[in-house]
Amino acid sequence: MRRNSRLIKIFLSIALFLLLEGISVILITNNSIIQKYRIMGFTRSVQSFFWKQGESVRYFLNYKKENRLLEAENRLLKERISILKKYLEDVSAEEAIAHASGTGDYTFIPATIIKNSINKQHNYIILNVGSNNGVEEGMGVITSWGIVGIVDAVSPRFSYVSSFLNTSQSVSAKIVSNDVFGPMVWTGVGNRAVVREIPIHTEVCIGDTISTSGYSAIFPPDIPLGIVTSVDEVNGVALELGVEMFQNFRALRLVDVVINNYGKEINMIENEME
Amino acid sequence: MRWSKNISILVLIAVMIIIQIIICDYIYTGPYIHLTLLPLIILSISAEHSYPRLALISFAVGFLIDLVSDGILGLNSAAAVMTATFVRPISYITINRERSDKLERPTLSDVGFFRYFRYSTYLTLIFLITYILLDCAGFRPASFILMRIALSYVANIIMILFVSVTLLNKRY
Repeated sequence: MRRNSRLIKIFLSIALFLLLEGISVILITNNSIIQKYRIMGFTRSVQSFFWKQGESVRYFLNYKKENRLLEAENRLLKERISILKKYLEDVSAEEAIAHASGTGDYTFIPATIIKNSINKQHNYIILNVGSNNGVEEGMGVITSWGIVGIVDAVSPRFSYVSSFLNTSQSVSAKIVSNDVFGPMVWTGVGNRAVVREIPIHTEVCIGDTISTSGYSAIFPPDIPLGIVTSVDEVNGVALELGVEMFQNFRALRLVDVVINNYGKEINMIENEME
Repeated sequence: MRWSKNISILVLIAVMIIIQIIICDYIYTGPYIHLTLLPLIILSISAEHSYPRLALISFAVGFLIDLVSDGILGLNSAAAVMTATFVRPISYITINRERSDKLERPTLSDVGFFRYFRYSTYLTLIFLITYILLDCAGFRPASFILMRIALSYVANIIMILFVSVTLLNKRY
């Protein structure tokens, strides 16, 4: 009995010590910018460690699902290779060499998600790549099943991505069958999005595929985003398309950060014009 | 008798707090020296108090100094709570356990110069290390931090011993 009360006393003393020190640290972080960033940086590095461990466990538990996704992606790539092979048979050797020697418009940095929030109105993702790997603010993040988000902040080893599951974020999307485009935004619920400002005369069918339009320096064109599930008229002047996204944000793990090789040039010319 | 004794201790602590505020606000000792009376104030609080009470009093005094002096809120309170946590263990190490349990608070005349010197040295170092690390770590080089701890320690221990000899050594 006496031993128990002694243990409770020790426990309460430790709790009081942590409480008082915690209050002091909060006061310091709120009253000094330098201390704030330093303490937040330390906290984030500890958090990142735990997120990484948690992610490893989650990855292990999702092995089957992950394999199925990779199989499907593999199948898709094989299909694309066969289409390219057919195309290469039709073009001359000189043309093929000229195509092969040029660099593409986009290059990709493979990354793993170590933290992914999906149940807020403004969700975010933390990637295990940062400025050391060539990631910069404003770069797009994609998978083969759609877009994931845009890099918002970068540290040497990690990147903070503003997820597409963000009611304030939009991406330029087009209807694959007729190339008509409009901004696509997340509805705030599940995997559903809407494509807005589609001209009223556009022919759209339920089941049509929506992909990225490529009218931005962030995302490459023709990344499949989802299929049309509903078509609604808005004020008699435009159509609003309900879209079920292909990308399952709950099962996200491996992504690619998109580097637009001409992005800086495009931005420069845009800035000059402004 | 006990009442008047308590009041004189409170007055003394209040005077030390005022001196500390003056030191913080008006005395510029350069970037390497941080002068503080807080460890001494914590030493002056009766060792008869339980840890929770001692920690709360230390936090309150540190917070008060933070509040009225022109510094970062929370720095003194964090270092004061850390120091208060080690008051009893260090008194057991430097003065012996039985003797320190009997003493209301260790003074120079009670425990002798060397024991008191060791006792106040450890507590001052705990205070300074906590304070200076929270203040500088991460954006100042390690050599600067070590130099600041060393110079501040020398300045503070001289001041603490001086005040202990002149003000605290008498039985109030």
